[in-house]
Amino acid sequence: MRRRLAWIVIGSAILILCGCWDQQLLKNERNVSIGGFDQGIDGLLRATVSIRDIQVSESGANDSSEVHSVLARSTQHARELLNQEVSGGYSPVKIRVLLLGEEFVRNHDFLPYFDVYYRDPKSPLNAKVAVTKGKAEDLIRIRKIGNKTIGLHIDDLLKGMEQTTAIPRINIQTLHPLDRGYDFALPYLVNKGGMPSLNGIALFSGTKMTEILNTDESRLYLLLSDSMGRDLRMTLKSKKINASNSYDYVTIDVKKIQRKLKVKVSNKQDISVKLHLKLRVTVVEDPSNHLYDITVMNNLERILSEQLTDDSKMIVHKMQKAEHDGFGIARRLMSYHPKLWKQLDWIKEYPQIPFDIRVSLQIVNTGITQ
Amino acid sequence: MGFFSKVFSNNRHKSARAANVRRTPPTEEKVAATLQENISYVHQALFHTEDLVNRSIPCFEKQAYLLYLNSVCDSDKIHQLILKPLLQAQDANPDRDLTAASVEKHTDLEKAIDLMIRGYAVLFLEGSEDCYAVQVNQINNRAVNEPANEKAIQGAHDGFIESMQVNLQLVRKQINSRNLVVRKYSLGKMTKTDATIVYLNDLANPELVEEIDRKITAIDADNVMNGLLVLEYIENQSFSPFPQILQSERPDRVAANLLEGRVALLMEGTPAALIMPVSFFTFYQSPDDYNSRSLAGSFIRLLRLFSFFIAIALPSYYIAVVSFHYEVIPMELFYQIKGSVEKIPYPPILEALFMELTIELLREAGMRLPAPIGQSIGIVGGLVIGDAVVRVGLVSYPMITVVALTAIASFVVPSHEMSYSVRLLRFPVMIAASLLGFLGICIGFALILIHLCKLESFGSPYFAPASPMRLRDWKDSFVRLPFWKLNERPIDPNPQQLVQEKRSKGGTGDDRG
Amino acid sequence: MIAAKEKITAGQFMIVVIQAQIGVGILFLPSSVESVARNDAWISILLAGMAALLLSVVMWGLNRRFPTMTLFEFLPKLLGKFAGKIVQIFYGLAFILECSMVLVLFTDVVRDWIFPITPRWVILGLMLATALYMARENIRLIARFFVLTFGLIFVLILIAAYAYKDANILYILPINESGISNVLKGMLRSMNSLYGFEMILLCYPYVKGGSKGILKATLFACVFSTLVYSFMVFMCLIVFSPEELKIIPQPVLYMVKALSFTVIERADLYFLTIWTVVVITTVMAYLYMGAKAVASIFGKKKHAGAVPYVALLILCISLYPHDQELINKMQIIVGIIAAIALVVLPFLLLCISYLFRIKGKEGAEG
Repeated sequence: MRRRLAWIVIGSAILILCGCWDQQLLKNERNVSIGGFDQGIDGLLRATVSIRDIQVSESGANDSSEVHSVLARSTQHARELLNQEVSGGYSPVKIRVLLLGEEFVRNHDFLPYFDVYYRDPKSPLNAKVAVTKGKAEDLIRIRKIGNKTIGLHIDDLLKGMEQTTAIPRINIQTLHPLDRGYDFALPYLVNKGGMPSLNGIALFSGTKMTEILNTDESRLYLLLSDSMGRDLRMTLKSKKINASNSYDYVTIDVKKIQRKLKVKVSNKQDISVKLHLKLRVTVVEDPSNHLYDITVMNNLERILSEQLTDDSKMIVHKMQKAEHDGFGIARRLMSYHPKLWKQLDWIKEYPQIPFDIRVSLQIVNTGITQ
Repeated sequence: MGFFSKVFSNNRHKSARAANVRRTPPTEEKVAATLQENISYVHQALFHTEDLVNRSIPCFEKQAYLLYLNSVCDSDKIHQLILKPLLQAQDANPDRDLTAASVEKHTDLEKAIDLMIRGYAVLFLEGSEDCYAVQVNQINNRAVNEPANEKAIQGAHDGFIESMQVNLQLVRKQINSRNLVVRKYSLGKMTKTDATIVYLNDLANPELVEEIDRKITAIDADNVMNGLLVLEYIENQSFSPFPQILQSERPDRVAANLLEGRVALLMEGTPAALIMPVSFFTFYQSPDDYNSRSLAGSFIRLLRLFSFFIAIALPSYYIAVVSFHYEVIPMELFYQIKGSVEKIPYPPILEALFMELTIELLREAGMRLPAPIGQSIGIVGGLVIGDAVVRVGLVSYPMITVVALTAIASFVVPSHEMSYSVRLLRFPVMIAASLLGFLGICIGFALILIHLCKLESFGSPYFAPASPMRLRDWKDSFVRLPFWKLNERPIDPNPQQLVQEKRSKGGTGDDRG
Repeated sequence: MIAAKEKITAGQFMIVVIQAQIGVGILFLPSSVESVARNDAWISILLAGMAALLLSVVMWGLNRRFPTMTLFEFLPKLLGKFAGKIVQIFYGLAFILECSMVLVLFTDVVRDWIFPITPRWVILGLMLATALYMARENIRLIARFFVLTFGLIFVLILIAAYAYKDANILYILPINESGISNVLKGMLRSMNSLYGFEMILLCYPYVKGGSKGILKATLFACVFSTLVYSFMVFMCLIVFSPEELKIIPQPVLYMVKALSFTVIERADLYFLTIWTVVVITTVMAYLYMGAKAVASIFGKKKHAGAVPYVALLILCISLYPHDQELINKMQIIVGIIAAIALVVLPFLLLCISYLFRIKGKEGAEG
């Protein structure tokens, strides 16, 4: 007993006297809420960050945003430079969104700049990534929109858009930059007169951006890649002829999707893809009000299906032209036809693969009116 | 190590050796034939104490003397039980005349003197070789009230008082079984306090009873006035933060524990029974669990066990988070917390210690003061200090929240000793958290758990039924299932009969047991 | 004879074996096996599990012939005094080295993931002190603690299972791409993580019930650990692409790092914290075995006195390697020693016991 107690006393004395090595007090840290990469001059990196400060008083919290920009050799270098400017400890641990300037990702392989995010154990792997038209810095320099700082605003914007399936759910971890077999797409933001707004998605081929899809296309793209968010709403033409007024549109809510993706390899080693999509939808807006008639409904179903099929074909065509394999055709080839895959020159092959696309739509519900 | 040996040396080993010395009876002194001799012997034995009353009574033809200590005797009783019958008697035959319930005939003066100290009046009769000791002690018991610290909302409202006799009666009233055995001890070389252990002969494990007996008889102190002193003498590990003996002031709780095969120790002057052996979970059971329905009882009990966890882990978790791992805070909360801790000059551990100690101070101050002032201390402390320290910038809002929650959680425990140990335990864990973050908390908890696994209370595992795991006993430890489901007694006190009921739920329409 | 107060039940014994088996391996296994067996790593684990089953049957068969003795008690009977002592020393060395290996890998992870600056001796010291506090007791109390913390393994599994939302089952295909030889190589690599069933050699006489119950408990334990390991490996294989697994040494942690629940973020920190307890139990088990070995080398009955010295020795050994290369070398050496101690020796001893018909006194009952 005595000896044990003595050991405990000695042990704890040693520990307490030695202090705390890896302490990083929350109060001393300055936390970045949004960061942006742009192409700088001479192959350098232009990094911009917004540090969110909050002051809590009895009357409530008060946000402010402090923006810093540096020209650095690499991401880690940028961190060091930023630390020289920022009071307190610079901490990128709580970054919510990383913005990439369009010019930067079109011309650069951005992956090396992301290395530090994968290597640092404290890095925020669940931060969202988005591409901005023009410079990311311009967007971050907005600082505040209403009461929200820019970082929070864009984070909430992207979150909302993910839920309505306008953009894919993606963060630094799920980018899969080392994964051959998938290409990813990132949200595409524009600066609309001092207000960041979503304008579709940017398609990547490998780690370079190649193409843009607008929001309508991106929804369909996400349906085709079987990655629906919480809900998905589309407003489509309800007539075959060119629509002239608002009576000619119908809005549908997708309830359930069933996607069949098959990669076929013929005996002659020709690859073809069959992509069938079945949608069950609810009509949420139909100004023409004719759905009580079953034939009208069937007609509408047919028109919408055709329209979606045509749109999908166009999207896939765009993807192929942009060498963007968002459906993971390559992954399927690797998994099911490993021998063929090893002989393949995928970059050359992919744009030539014939796609058999069919979208069929079924209205299951029309709201509380017919 | 010399310093520690001096500080922590205990006399347990010595007392074991001295046990047999104490048991030798005092030398016998025969009652002498002449009255004067006897009376002067008593006077000398009591060193001429001035509360010794010496009254001579003409008892028919003979002379008699009544000796008693007037400080412990009830003069009404002396009048009613001794003087009146003797003076009215037709011949000198005290065997018949003394109408008291408890009359002892002794030939040994020493014994008579011992009895006098305890409130007996001793009658010496001329020419007789015996003396008569009549119990005429003063009884001023308080009423059998509900204990203040173990209140039950429903159920019985009686509690133990300072008289062992009454307490024993209260226990007997609960269990009308001939198996209920009472064993007497006299503790303390000087105080000679009465103590009893109570158990059910057909349930309590004989080995357990023997061990308790051994531990009680080994006590060699001069002064054992209080049951709580006995507790420290007989518990297994005094330096453990966890209490190993349950104190209860409720007869129903004692009875319920006796019926599980445990042993209770009652002491004169102590309004509580010590129940042993107990497990950790006993301290989280309250009579209210049994007086309410099973679902409500289970919910409350789980809540209490959860409070144990909160009381120890919450402040340390908060400290670990704000000083090591602030990445784990979700986004919005993160900036809120950051905003409020930003202006605090001290590291979180100091902040927490300051606040925790303040709360302990407030509690202690409120307890020592009379009730109306005590309450105002609570209000002053809670509202004024809480608000002021934040405004001054000594402590942050989240810390106040954490500390307040912790304090409330530590008061939920139904047992006082356990509440103390919970409050003590959180300090080392907090320091560990401030040194090594989550790893520190983890090591701290591992050590606590290991300690709980190793700890034994009178030979039965303390952390049962969690370790050793016995799922069947979880029915009445983590939750409380309906009584008809509790077919077996808990196994930790090693009862002689495990089964306490077979099928008790009659009828076919009910849910089946 | 062993007092009833020191006996454990077969169920407790099973959990003791599981706790001794599941340790650091759970973090390293996926990438280390993947590096040879590619996306068939999970097959390797299952095969390794079967090998472990076989080995534990051998050990059980050996111990069944001496039902009232532990390994160190029957070694002198089997091999004679001198050879017995040498084998005893060898076993002690194996247990101590295995324990140090576990600690070295653990501190490595802690350094990389939470505390980059904290000196290694602090973490090592704390772990060993905690383990020492428990390992001094008899197997019954140790078993109680193991049973108590057993539930944490399920918490780990639950956290890891949550990562399924990022999974892509296609990564597992094509099955058997890497070829049998690589799968077998992967199996050898994963054997290290399944060691722990050697507990049977030291616990056999302490377990209540017949030898069949003991066998069943060991087999169940091996099956359980194998399933847990293969689940973890499988999860990693379907969450990460092969390219990624190549550069991530602790994929399980990486997998849970990006998870964010509504109340907490950075699940990896919680995972690590819980995992620490799981590692502590492994260290306890090896510390216990090591102390038993050392005590018997010096002819002592009680192991409690040897525990602090063994812990000190382990501390010194695990402080020694400080770069990846040394750790790798140490891993290989420990692997070989463990293989001899746990694969070759029991088999040899069993043969000797059968050939020379050496049995324990009450050996007939088995």
